[in-house]
Amino acid sequence: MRPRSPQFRAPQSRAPLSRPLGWLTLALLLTGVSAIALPRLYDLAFAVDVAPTHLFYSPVREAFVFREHRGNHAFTYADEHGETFDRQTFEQQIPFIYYRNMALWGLLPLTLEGRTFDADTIRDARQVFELKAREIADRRPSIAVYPLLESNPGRARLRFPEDVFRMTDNRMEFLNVDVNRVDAALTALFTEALTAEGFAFPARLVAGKPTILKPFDEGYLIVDAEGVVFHVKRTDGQPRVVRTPIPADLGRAIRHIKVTENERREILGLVLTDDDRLFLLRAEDYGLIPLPTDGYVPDRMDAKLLINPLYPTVVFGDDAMVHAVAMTPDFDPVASYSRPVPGTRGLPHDVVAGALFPFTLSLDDHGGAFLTWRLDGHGWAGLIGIAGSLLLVLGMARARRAPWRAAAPVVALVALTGVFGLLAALLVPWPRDDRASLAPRPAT
Amino acid sequence: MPALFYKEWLKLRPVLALLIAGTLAFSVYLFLSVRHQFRIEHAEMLYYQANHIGRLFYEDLRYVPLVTGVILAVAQILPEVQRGRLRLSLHLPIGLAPLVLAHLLIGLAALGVILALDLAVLALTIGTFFPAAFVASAVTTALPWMLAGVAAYLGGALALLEPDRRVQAANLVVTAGVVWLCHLSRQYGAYDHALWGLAGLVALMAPAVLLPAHRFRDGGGR
Repeated sequence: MRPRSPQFRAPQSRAPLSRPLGWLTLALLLTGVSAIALPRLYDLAFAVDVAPTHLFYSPVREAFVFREHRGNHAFTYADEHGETFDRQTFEQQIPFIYYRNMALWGLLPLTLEGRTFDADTIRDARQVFELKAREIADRRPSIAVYPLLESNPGRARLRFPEDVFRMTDNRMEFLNVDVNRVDAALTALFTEALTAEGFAFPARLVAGKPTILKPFDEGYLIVDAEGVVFHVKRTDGQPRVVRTPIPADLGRAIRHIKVTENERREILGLVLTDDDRLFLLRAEDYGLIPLPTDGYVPDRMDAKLLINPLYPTVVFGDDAMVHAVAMTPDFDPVASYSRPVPGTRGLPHDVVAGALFPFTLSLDDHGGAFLTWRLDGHGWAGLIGIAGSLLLVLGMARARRAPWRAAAPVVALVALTGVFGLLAALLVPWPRDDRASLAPRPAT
Repeated sequence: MPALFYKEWLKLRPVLALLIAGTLAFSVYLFLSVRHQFRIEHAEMLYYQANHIGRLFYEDLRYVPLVTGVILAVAQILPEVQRGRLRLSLHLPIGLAPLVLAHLLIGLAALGVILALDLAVLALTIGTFFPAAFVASAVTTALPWMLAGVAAYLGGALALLEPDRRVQAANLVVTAGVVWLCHLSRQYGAYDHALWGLAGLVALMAPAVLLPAHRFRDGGGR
C-alpha cells in the first residue's frame, strides 16, 4: 500500500549508499593529505641534509679524488684507491680547482708533466660548463617570448631592446613592448633574412641567454622545422643570420641548447640530444664536440664540464651515483670512475621513516620547476608500520564494540595505507558507528 | 527542486552581489597596480622580470579565490545549520544525497561565476600589457589558486555541517592540507603537469560532504 506521507520516508530509504560514500571519500582525502604532509613534517623535524659527492680528476696523482658527505659534519676526502687525506692535502691534489689557495700556500708555480703553471696560466685555461636537469627546456615552464639584444651596443654594457620576438608558424614576429603591438617593419626584416638563408617555419627550438648580465651577446640558436640550426643575432640593428653546418638529422634530435657567452669565445654552448648525448658547440665553426657521457640521464642528473690545462673532466650524477670521465685537452677520454653517493639511505631517520610510512605520496618539484605527483613505496620495511597500525585499529574496534560491517572498511584502509589510514580512522567518524545513525531519529 | 534553487537564489543574492562588487573593485586595483609598474619602469625590464626572473605581477590574486570560497560557504551553509534549518529541507521528498549535492552544486556554480570573473580580469589585465603567451602563463598559474577557492568552499561545507567540534577541527585540517597543496610554488606554470591530480583531490571533497550531512541529520545541529 502506498504510504500517505512518502516525504517522511524518502530520506532514510536513500541514506545507506551515500553515507559510506561520504565516509570513503573523506577517509581517502585524509589519507591522501596525510601521506603527503606527514612524511614532510617528519623530514622537517628529523631529516639530515647530505651534500652531493664532489668528484675530480687529480693531475697530481693521476687518479680520481672525491669529497664525500655522510651527514652532519662527517666529510671524507679520499682517492679512488681508498687513500684518505685531510682537507688541505685534498685541495693540493686538484691544484687547478684550488689554485688561489695554492698561491696563498706558496705552492705556485707548479710543475706537472713537464709543464709549469702559475696562477695566471691556470686562470686563463679554466672554464666551467654546467647543465642541470632543471634547466632543460622541456623540464621547466617558459614563456616563448624573447628579447634579441643588440650585439654591438657601442657602449660598455648590454641593454634590453624595446622589443621582443616570438616565433610564429610563418614568421619571426617582433612586438614593441611599450605598446604591446607587432612591429611590422622589424618582423619583415628578420623574417626575410631568415627565409633568405632557407629557414623552414615553424621553429622547433629557440635557445639563448636572455639577460644583460653577460659580457657580450651571441643572440639565439634557432632549430627550424627541418632540423637545421640557425644562429640569429642583431648587429647594428640588422639581422645577422648564419645557417650552421650542423647536420639536420642531428638538429632534429636536439633537445636543449644552453648558450653560454664566455670571454674566451671558444665555446658557444652545450647541446643535448633526445638520446642523451652531450656536445660542446664550438663558436668558430659550429663544430660539435661529443663528450664521453655514457650513463648520463639528463632528466635526473646534473652534468658539469671542468676545463683545465691538462685533464678536462666531465662529471655527472644524481643522488645515487656520481660518474666522472677525465679527458685529454682534445676531449679524448683518459680515465673514468663511478661511485655510489652515500646519501641518506641507512641513516637512522631514514630507516625509521621506511618502517613508519608504507609509502610517500609527494607533490614536489624534486629540485626542478614543475611540481609532479609521485608515489614512492618503502618496500617490506613498510609492513612494520602497517602491522602496528592494524593492531591499534583492531584495538579501537574492540573498545568501541564496532560491528564487523563498520570496522571492516576502516581495517581494510589501514591494511593498505598504514599510519595514514590510521589517522583517518582516528579522525573520521566510522561508517554506521554513532548511536544516532544506528537508531535514526523518528521523523517529526 | 526548482523551489530549492529559488530558495538558494534568494539567500545568496546579496552575498553574490557583494562578491561581484568586491571582484570588480579588486580588478580595478589589479589593473592599476600593473599599469603603475609600467609607468615607473621600462617595459622591457618588466618583460624580463615576468619571463626570466619569474616575478608574478598578479601575485595579489593568489588568496582572493580562497577568501571568496570561505565567504560563500559561510553565507550559504551557516544559515542552514543555525537552529537546524536544513532539517526542514531534509524532510522534503528528496534523498539526502541529491539534496546536499544540489546545495553544493548551486554554491559551486555561484563560485564558478566569480572565479571565472577573476580569471577574465587577470587575462584582460595581463593581455593589456603583455602578449598572449604571458596571458596563457598567468591563467595556468592562477588555476591552482582557483582550485584552492573550490577547496575552501567545500571545506567550509565539511566543517559547518559537522555537528561534533572535534570532527569539525579534523575536517578543517584536511581542508587546510588541500589548500596548502594548491599554494606550494611561487614559480609560474609550476602546476602545469600536476593540475589534474590536484583537481581530483579537490573533487573528492564534494562527496565527502555527505558524511557530515548524514551526521547532521542523524544527531547534531539542534
